[in-house]
Amino acid sequence: MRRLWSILTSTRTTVVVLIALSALLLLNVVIPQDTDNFRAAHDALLARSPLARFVLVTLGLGHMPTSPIFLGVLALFFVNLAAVLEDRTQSTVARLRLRLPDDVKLAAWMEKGEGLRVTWPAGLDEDRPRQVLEQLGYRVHAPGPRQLWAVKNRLAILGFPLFHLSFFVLCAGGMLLFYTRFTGSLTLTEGQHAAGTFAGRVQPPLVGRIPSVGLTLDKVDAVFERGQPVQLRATVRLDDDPRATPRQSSINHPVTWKQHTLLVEKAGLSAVLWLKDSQGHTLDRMAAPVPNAGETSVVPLDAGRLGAALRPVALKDLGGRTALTTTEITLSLLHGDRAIVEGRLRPGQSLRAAEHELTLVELRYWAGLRLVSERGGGWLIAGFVLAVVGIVWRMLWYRREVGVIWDGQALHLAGRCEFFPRAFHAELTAISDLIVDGNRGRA
Amino acid sequence: MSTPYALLYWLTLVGYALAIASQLFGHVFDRPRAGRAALWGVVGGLGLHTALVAWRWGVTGHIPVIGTFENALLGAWFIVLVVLWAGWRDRFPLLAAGSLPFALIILGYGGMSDTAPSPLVASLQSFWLYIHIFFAWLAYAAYTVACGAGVVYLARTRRTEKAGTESGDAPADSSEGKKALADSLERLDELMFRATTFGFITDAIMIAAGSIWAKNLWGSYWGWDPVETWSLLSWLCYGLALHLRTTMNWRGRRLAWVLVAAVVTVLISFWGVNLVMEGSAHVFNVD
Repeated sequence: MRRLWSILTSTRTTVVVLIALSALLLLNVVIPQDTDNFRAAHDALLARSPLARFVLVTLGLGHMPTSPIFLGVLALFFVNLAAVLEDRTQSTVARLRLRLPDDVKLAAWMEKGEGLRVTWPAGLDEDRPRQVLEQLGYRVHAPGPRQLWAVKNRLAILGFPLFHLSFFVLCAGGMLLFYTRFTGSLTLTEGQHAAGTFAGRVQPPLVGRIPSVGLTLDKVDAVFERGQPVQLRATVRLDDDPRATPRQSSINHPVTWKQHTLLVEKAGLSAVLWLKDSQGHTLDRMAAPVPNAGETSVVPLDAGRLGAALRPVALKDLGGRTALTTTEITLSLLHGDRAIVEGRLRPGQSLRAAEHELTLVELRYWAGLRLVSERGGGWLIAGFVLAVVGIVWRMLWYRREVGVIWDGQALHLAGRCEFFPRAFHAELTAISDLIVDGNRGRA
Repeated sequence: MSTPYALLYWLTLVGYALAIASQLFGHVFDRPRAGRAALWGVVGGLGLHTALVAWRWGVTGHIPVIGTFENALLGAWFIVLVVLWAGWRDRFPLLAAGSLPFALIILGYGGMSDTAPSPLVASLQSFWLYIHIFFAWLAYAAYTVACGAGVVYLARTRRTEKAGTESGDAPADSSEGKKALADSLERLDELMFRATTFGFITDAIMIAAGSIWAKNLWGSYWGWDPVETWSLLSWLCYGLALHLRTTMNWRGRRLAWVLVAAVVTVLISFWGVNLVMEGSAHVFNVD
């Protein structure tokens, strides 16, 4: 057990674990992952050979966050971290000390560190060393007559456990996010309401239920500058809000409430279509999203008996909302795969076939929205804050110890610091100067 | 680029290149004056570079952070500024020769990309962008300083027969020369550690800020995107370097080699990943 504990708390173990984690992160970049952006490359690699299948699926390296190897190394990382923190608790507490250990003599301690000897000026106040050290932020203790032992930033060592504990907080936040995360996409036309159904991609949470969220899309604003999208905004009203206050989701500024985040991702034209028969009876009315680019989109009409094919129209090429009344779109009325009639229509215009009439009533905008629901974000942010505070505290406000002995003729200063010995030597010199000369230089 | 802008751009590049060459000449042929003069060349180059950044800012109406060219322009500016400050403060003019080649490569690479100004697209209109990029460039500049200090350390310890003080006055075999060499090596060692510490802290803030921004932009704090993952890997490498220094007392040449190797992860983080992997959501271009 002792040997196991020794291995667990060893710095070499930490180094090995960090190298292993780095190697796995490297593999995460090099091996195509089973994610939205790299799925095609991942599947192509998977199809190549049984070895690829073994690596990607059996070892799980095709989806690193859930790979048993990665999770195993991560677990070892946290076990090592916990063991080191526990092992160092006593020494950390000891290093908070305000005084020298009882069995250590100041003179002997001073022989081991950086040292300076200067002449004690005649008539100098014997309290001057204490005054200077206290002015510079040191906590001073007198182990004997004409002796001082001072420490600065003695609590800085607490930055070490704080920084390392933050990893546990980050891990807790990450796990909560992973298990509770839900994402669902939906496309709505202005004026449409969605009541908890997601027609697009849905990733259900591993723990918990799919959230029931209802909302109405009021308005979409898309702004382009030189063909580049400089803003996209969607105004929505949430069913959760009894006052139905309009709220705006834009790029970088999503609508957030409770654990939900509503992002607007894309937008386009939406054709409001009205299908009538030859007697003028309404067969169907719908809002059909017009694609921005790529393939023609086909939407079913009249319970699938007919269809409407809409050719892409790039939103960036239009002149904004004012142009909607005059924008033309290319439409086809389909029966099966066959186009009955085709043409370019402006709002208010119709395509007429023998038994049907398809009218483009108006053009609106559609917005592609994504709802993300998850818990644990607060833990993650708390972990970030703790990590930054801890590392800054530990590395920048590091502990310094100074011993001073004088005998009325000579002044002996010596000290130690955890980091940056050259800067500390300069600091000791400045302390000496301040004591002896009363200089106002910064230490 | 317009012709005057291109002229200023190439003047800056040439200025840096000449300064680096002059410093190397000064070091190799023991001409300390050439080294010191070169440092003023770097100052002059930085002045031209600052004009480039300001000009671009005026033309586009936003801080130059969009696309490879603007990121290279601003990133190289940060590197030169921090290297100059560190070299001046710690009396290491040769630091520029060790660190500035990165800035030169970055600028040159940026100049080969599309330089046409772009409007600030919606995805980049966020306060967190500026926090993220500011700390990213501080971190990369600090790592470059650490690498440069490592290079100088390695160069100096190879020349143990010909110790050089900054004034170049004391011959190497004199006790004064040995003391001067030991003093400069100690300062370099401390500079490596300081720069790594500063880079590690600013890198942590960069990752945290990027994560919070990602939540607002993509709905997720961490998406295991290649650039995100590589930046974490790079941070872990420098964390490893700090562990080796503080707990296993790796100093001098060993630490120098670690820091010279680790800077490669930083370069890959910014350029390599997007060159090799298409499909990353973390794109610096708007194309």
